[in-house]
This record gives sequence, C-alpha cells and structure tokens, in this order.
Amino acid sequence: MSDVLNVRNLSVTFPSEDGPVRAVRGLSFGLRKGETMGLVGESGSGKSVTSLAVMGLHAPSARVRGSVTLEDEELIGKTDAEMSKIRGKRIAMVFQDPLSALTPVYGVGQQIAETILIHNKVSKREAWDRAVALLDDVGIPDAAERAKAYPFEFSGGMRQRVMIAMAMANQPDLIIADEPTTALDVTIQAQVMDLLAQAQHDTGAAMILITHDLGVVAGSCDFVTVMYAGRAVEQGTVDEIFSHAAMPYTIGLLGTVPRLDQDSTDALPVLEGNPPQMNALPPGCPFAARCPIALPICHTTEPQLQDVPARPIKPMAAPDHGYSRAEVEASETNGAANAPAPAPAGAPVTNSGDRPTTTRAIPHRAACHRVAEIVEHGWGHADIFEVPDLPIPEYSATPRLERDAALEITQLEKTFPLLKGALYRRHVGEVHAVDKIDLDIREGETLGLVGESGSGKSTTLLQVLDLVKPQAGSISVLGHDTATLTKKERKELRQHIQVVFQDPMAAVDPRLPVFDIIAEPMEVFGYGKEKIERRVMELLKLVGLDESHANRYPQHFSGGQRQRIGIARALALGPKVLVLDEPVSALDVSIQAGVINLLQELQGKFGLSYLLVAHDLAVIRHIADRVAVMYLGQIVEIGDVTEVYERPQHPYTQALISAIPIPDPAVERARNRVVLQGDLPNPANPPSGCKFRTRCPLFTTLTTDEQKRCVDEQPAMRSGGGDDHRVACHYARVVEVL
Amino acid sequence: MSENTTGTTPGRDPNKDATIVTGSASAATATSSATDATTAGAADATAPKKSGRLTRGQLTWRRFLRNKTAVVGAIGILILVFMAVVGPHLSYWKYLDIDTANFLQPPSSNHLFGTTQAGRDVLAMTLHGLSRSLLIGFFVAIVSALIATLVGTTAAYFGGWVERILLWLIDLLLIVPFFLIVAVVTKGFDASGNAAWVMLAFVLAILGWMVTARVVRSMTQSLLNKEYILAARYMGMSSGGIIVRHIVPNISSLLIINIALGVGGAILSETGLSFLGLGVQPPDVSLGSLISQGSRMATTFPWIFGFPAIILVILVLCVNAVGDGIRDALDPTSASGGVLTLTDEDEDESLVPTEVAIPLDAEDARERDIRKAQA
Repeated sequence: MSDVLNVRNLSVTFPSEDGPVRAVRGLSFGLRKGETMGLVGESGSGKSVTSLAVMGLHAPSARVRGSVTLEDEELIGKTDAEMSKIRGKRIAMVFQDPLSALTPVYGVGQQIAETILIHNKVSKREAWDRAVALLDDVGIPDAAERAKAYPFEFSGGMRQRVMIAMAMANQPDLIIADEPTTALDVTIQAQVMDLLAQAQHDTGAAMILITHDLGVVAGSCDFVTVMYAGRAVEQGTVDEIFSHAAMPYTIGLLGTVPRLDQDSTDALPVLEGNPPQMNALPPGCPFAARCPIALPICHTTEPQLQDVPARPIKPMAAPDHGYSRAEVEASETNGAANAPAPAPAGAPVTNSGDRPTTTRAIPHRAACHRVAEIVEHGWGHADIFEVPDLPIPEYSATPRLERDAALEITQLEKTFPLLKGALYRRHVGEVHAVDKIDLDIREGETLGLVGESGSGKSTTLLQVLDLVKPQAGSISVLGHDTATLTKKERKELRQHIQVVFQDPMAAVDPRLPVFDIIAEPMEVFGYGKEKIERRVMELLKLVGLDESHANRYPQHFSGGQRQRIGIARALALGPKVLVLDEPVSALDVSIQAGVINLLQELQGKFGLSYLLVAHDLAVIRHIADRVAVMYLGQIVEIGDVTEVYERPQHPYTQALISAIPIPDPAVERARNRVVLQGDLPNPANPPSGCKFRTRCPLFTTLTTDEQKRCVDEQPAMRSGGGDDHRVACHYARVVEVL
Repeated sequence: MSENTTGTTPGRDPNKDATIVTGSASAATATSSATDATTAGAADATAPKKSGRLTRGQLTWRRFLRNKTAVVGAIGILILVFMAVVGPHLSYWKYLDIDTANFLQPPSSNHLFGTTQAGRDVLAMTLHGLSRSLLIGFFVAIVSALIATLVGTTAAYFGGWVERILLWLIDLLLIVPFFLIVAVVTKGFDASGNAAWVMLAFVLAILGWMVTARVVRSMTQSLLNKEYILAARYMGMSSGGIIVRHIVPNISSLLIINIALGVGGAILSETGLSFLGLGVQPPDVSLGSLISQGSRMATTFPWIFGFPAIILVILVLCVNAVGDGIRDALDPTSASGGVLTLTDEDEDESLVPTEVAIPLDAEDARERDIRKAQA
C-alpha cells in the first residue's frame, strides 16, 4: 500500500522585517489511507505552516521547497488554480475557529452544497440533498430544517460539526484538522473528536491532526511527529513516543503536563526558557539552550533525525518519576519484545487497547546527539529536568475549618435581564447566570471552579471582584460583607483581593514598560517613590524575572513571562486572596508548568487563597485543594479535589472528567467513559427540576417513577460521603472514570 | 544569547558528561548545573537583541523610510517649514511693505516672485501665507484631535447618559451649517486683521472633530474589554486615570494618523475659505487669499497666482504623503510599505538538512535495515 500523502524535506521560508523566517526546515513524513498523524509542538513551531504548505495556501512571497505528493501527484509548484481543484475535493481542512471559518451571510446547508457544486457535476437540488444528508451524518438534529439556518444560530460544537460535514462532502483523501477542538468546551471536544474519527472512518481519508493537547493525540492518533523550531525532532508511533520518548524536548513536554489521573503535591518539572526566534536561530540544536543535558556539540551541530537504538532489556534506572504502573509494565514488556530484534524499527508495536487501529510499524526516530544514552539509561523527565522544591506552607498542619475564611459566598444570585425590541426595550425574562451558590475559601487554600462555558464561573468571579452588594445572597471577603462597604472601605479592601487574567497578551498594557505596569497598583494607593522602586524589584525577582527587565515593554516578553508580570502586579499590594481566571490556559504546554509552580510557590510563601477558574481539569487537580463543579449557574458537586476526581458522584462531574483525554495512550484506551450528549441548554429557559436532566446519561437509565423526581424536584446539596464532598443529585453514585 | 552560551559551555567539561553513565543520580547533578546555565540563557533569549528584535519605534521608522513618497513628503515639509520660519527674516521685503517703485512687476532679482498691484512683494506674502496656513493646519488638526479624544473616550468609558448626551452633541454639530458659522465668525465679529485667522482656526477645530470622536469612541469600546483595563479597575484606579494612562496611549496611533491627515484637510479648508473671502481677512494674507487675488489676472500676470498655488499644492501633497506614510507604517497589515521578498542570500544552506530524512515508512526502513545487515 502506498502513501496517500508523502512529504519529503519540506521547507518554508517567509520574509520578515527582521530577516527570513525559516518556519519549516526539512520535514518528512508519509501517511496512508485511514491513518492519523498528530503534529505536536508549541506555537511557532511550524505546525500550521506545514498544513498550509500542503494545501498550497501560502502567500506568493513565501518560499516553499521540497516535495509534497498526494497519491504520487506533486503538489509543490502547482498554480493556485490547479490547487483549487484539489483543495476541498481531495484535501479537506477543519479549522480551529468554526465561527470565522463559516461565512456568516449564507446558510450552512448552502455552504456545504457549494463545496459539492464546485467539484462535482450535480444539480443544485442534488447538492442540497447531499448537504442535508451530511448534516444528518454529523449528528445535527432535524438536519433538513437546520440546513437553512445561519452559522450564528449554531453553538460552537455544532458549527464544528458543520465544518466536518463540509470536509467530508467530497470524500477527501486527506483531512487536515488544525486545532479542531481548541476553541471548544471539553465535553464538546470529546464529541468532536469522536466525530472526526467517524468522518475519517467513513471517508477512509488519512488525517493530520495538529494540536498542542497531548491528551488528544494520545487518544486519537497512530503516529506522532513532534515539531520544534520548524523541524521534526521526534517521530514514531503514539505508543513509542508516549512511553519511550527519546528526545529531551518530547520528554519534557510529556513530563510537564499535570496529570488528571494522578495526585501530586510536588512541583512540576520545568522546561526552562522559550523557543528560539525563528529568524535568528542559533547554530546547533535549536533546543540546546533549554536542554539541561546539552553537550558542547549540541551548540554547534544540529542533530539529524536518526533511528532510536534498541532499548536495553531492563531499564537501568528505575523510572521513579511518577509513571503509572501500567506504563512501567508496558515498558518492560515492550523492552523485552524489542530486545531480540536488531533494530526497533521493524519491531511490532503492542496494541493493548480496543481501538481498531491499522497501526503499522514505523521507525522511531529522534533528533538528539545523546539519544543513545537516553535510551540506554531510560532517562525520564525527572532525570533530565529540574524539579524545583516547593516551600511547605505553615498552615498546612491546621485543618481547613479551623483556618480563617478568606472568601465566603452564600446563596449568591446574579440574573441578567433579557430585553427585546429595538425602540422600546421590553423586559421579557431573565437569565440566572449564578443561581444560589455557596462557596467558602479558607486561608491558604485553593478552590477550583470548573464547568463548561456559560456555567456561570466568570460571572461568579466578577461578582466577587466588583465588591458591591449582590442582587441576592452575600459575599464576604476576609470577613467584610461587601453589601455594607463604604466607598473608602471598598478601595481599602481592593488591596487584599487581586486578579490574574487569562490572556497574557491582553492582561498587561502594551504601551507601558514593565516597571510602570507593576508599580501601577502601588501608585493608586499612594506608595512613596522609593518604596515602589524597591517593591517592584522585589516583585520581579519573586516571579522569576530579572531586575533588568523593568525598562522593557511587554512585547519583549513571551506569554509565560507576561503572565508572570501580571502575577507580580497582582501581588504588588500584598493581597490575601487572588482570583485566577484561567491563568495558564493561553500558555504553551512547556510554559504552563513554570507558571503553575510559581503560583504554588507563592501560595506557600504568603499563605494566599486562590479562587481559580480553569477549564483544564488536570491543572485544577494539580493546584487546587478543593473543586466546585458548576452547571447552569449552580454548583452540582463540591469537595476535596482527590475525593471528587477519584469518586465523582454527579453524572456531570463524571462526564467532565472522562471528557479530558489523558496523555497516555494505554491509559486512555482502557478508560471508562461517560459521554455527554448535546450542548448546554438555553440558560434563559432552563429545564424544570434538575437542570442537568436533559443531558444526563444517568437519567436515561432510570425508571419513569425515578425520572419524575428529577423532572419535578430540584436536587439539594447533600453529603456525598467522605469528609468533604457534597453533591446535588437525587441518584448520586460513584462512577470511577479515571 | 550567543555570548552567554559560549560563556557557559566551556565550564561543562565533556569528560564530566562522559562520567554520567551510572544512571539518574549523577545525571541529576549534571542536570542541575546545566539548568542554571539554561535559565540564564533563556532570560537573555527574550531580551531585545542588538541584531534580532526591533523596538516598535524602530520598526515603524523603518517601514516609514521604505515608503519613498512619504520620505520625500517629510523632507518637503521640513523645507517649507524652514522657509516659513526663517524666510521672512532673510528677505528684505516684509509682507506688508509696499514698493512704490514696482507695481505688478514680474519676478526679478529685487522681487524674486514679483510684486502685486499694490507693490507688495509676492515672495514675502507667499512665505507669510505659508506660515499662516501651516499654523492653522497644525493647530486645527491637533486641537480637533484633542477634543475628539476627550469626547470619544469619555462617551465610551462612562456609557449610559453621558454617552447619549455626547453622541447627541456630535450629531448636532454634524448638521450645523459650516459655511454660515465661518462667515458669521470671521466677518461678523469685527475680527479684522490678525485676529481673523485665530478665529478661523478655532472654528475649524470646533467643527472638525466629530467624525474622529466617533471613531475614538468605538475604539475605546473595544479596549474596554481588555483585561488590563479590568485589572486597573479592580486595583481601584480612578476613571480619569484609566483613560489617561491606558486608553489614550493605546489609541495614539489612530490619533497620530488623524492629526497627520487632518493637517492637509485643515489647510485646504482654510485656503478654500480664504479664497472665498470668508477666512483670513486683509491686510493679513494666507495662501488662499493670495491665490484669490491672483486668480483674476492669472493669465496676464501669472506670478501672483502661480507661486502661492504651487507652494500650496506642494504643501498639501507633502502633508498627505507623510500622513499616508505614517498610517502605513503604523498599520502592520498594510503592504504599501513595500512587499518583502526573499533573495537567494536568504537561503541558509547550513540549516537545510543534507540528508533527506526518511519518512514514516516501514518498507523503506526495512529495506534499509536489510541493506545495512547485508553490508
């Protein structure tokens, strides 16, 4: 069987103000029918540039060299008109943001029919019927009607389904999915990934899956190519890469991701530094500057991709770095199986899972001068990368209920009015964004708030930060009820509660130097000049930046460093409570770990209390002490983080946890899954009784009598067993999903 | 960055690395020493490198310089400003002087641009008119941008009633009959002589900010969603503080562009009005009133009309070229700064792998292994 897609020595260079940018430098891979390759790497590593080169979508000023063949037809050098006949027909693409990928002024059915009409000689009627059939295939309910709807009438997940239907429309040979789930909620992500697999199965296409989420790769790819600074630094089957990565960068990437299925109180290993500038690449290995085991040769000669030598029969160094037991066993059996073979290249790969894969054996290759040593000693991330020590907080011995409350929320409610009419705006109803929630955070504690978008997490945060009297219920910060504050008291209290935002690009003013950014809150509170000067330097050091950085502008910093600047600003006034709104979700995987460690270190040092919103449940498990799961403005489950993750009782919690892929193919395949159907219901018109019942997987298994209770009666919070675990479900029971 | 790595690598003896063969314990020691080096290296990697990253100012400047029209325009403006400022002091004739010996004389060594009917020196008048036009142009552009900023940011930031009232004011001023007001102000207020141009400048500024204010308002609205504004609010900063410190600097490129393009517009309005007799009042002269005087005898005595007209055209062309240049330089998506192309020198062979890396293909690999084994 020959390759559907064969990419050989692809290189792409762009002109820029600062000289040529070599975005892709010599990438090669081949893919056959039905195979999926994950293209993994940090932003700027050349993933998307590669996919655009395959599609022939680069601007004429870019220089594309090498060879890309689709079923032995050379694509490089084809004119745009020739490529247009291939794009959409033989190569289809699914983009990250389904809203901007669909034209807002045409109905979705028309847009799908258009792709069919362009490439096939069919009548409009036939194309339309086919579009409706495709929409039906991708699980759009009532497809004939919905095909007439416009993109804005669909939710994000539904729009991505439409995109997939469009990609499937002409039975392509190759589907390129560029971060297809990044913009979606985790529960929707699981649905879309299933659908992509289905689409691939139906069309028999090869697929390139571009993503930064290692969990997604583990769950759905056959092969992985890890890219760094425009080069493939490691290639192999998904099992090989995830269990026996041989290039320090890959090892680091896999090691720095917090794990959903593991409790950890230790710091994460840190991949220091940032990827190099693509217009000023240093000689030698591009990763050398960040690599703790770099040798002098690494700084002078760039290593070529080479076969990874056979592993020794028994790993010499016991992997004592938190690999799961299953993995250790797998590595031993694999090692044993591979040992007699002259090279691991041809060795069969064990497929322990139930996934019907066509995984063929491909050589495991890595670009590293020390690959032989790494394999010989079985070095893992803990051997190569530094794991910083975390200070042990003073209060850790005190039980939480004996500590002072930093933040108490009781029966908090926030509704937004629904208005209608252009001239005279009538009040037609309201949305309960936050519906009677109770929370408390003790000193030195972290509470994670999780839920899909629209569940009321951000509204809760903003209610707390506003420090004003809530519509109903009460908020008390460090013992001060916000309802009774005077203007002066409110300003005083602001010193003690500060916020760190999600987007490091938007969170600091690009027009101010770092010094002024960090000094800002102190200026507001009238600190003296000298004191500010001293404190800014102190803060810079505290968050791991250099004093000499004070005079630079935010544009000179990477995302992770900007987030550190944001954290320094939040700490300037010595707050007691920090509100963290998705503090690491916008950062690259290798940068995340450093910021997470910093947050934990600061908490230990200053006894901070964190209210943390994150959609990444693995991050929550790593940082938080307690977790609260929100659904449509209500808390459905709350408790100690280990307790909730290990023994989730609410079906929603179970679905959320099982929707997160685990970056370990063996574990991922063997997992117990609770799949959630559909989208969040319209919050303006929530279901009666239990708000979750319309999507509840448990509800469908109940008898009619039992169901009646869910329909009529809103479940109250009750103890879910354990010391600190409360759940709001009539029929709560433990389902382990890890 | 490169000094840094070369500075640290000699310390890492290759022999020392060769000793790391017994597993993780010794590997860890090597790791920690290496990590320090990489940390330092990484911190430097992000620094604005001498050769690598450019500051925003440098970048804008470079893009501006690449636009040849704009550079020529900038040089032209500098020359004209120099002429307007220094010229009157160098020339023997002042603009009000009357040379009773020379009426309506063509250009000569005594009067480089010739004289008018009343025996006034056209060069001196043109230079004076040029300085009037420049003053009015810059004054109007800057003042109207200031008003636009104040109104636009205030309306967007506070919203509600404040916004509604300010928008109402904008709409009202937009429908006010422009000509009527200018006529009333410059003629009606007995603003004879020198005061007239000041009045004219104020009127032009007061009636020229509304469209910009609307743009400023919508830009401010988009900025309000930025998290640094929220952060400033949650640290207790006052509204005025947020506007001055965070909003205005972030819309400054729009304001700079508006000022640059507004200068040309204001000069044209002024000359147009003066031409019609509504602007600068005699005995004061501006380019507009001078052109108006000369136009009646443009065919017979062309120098009175021609020289000021040429100067005006050059001035407006230069101002607009610079305005366009600034806009393109500040707008990263604009291609008028010149499309960048790659030259053959950009191909760095050292980075292109010599050997073709083998693709993910088992057959290939097996064949190769067999060949290897045979060898």
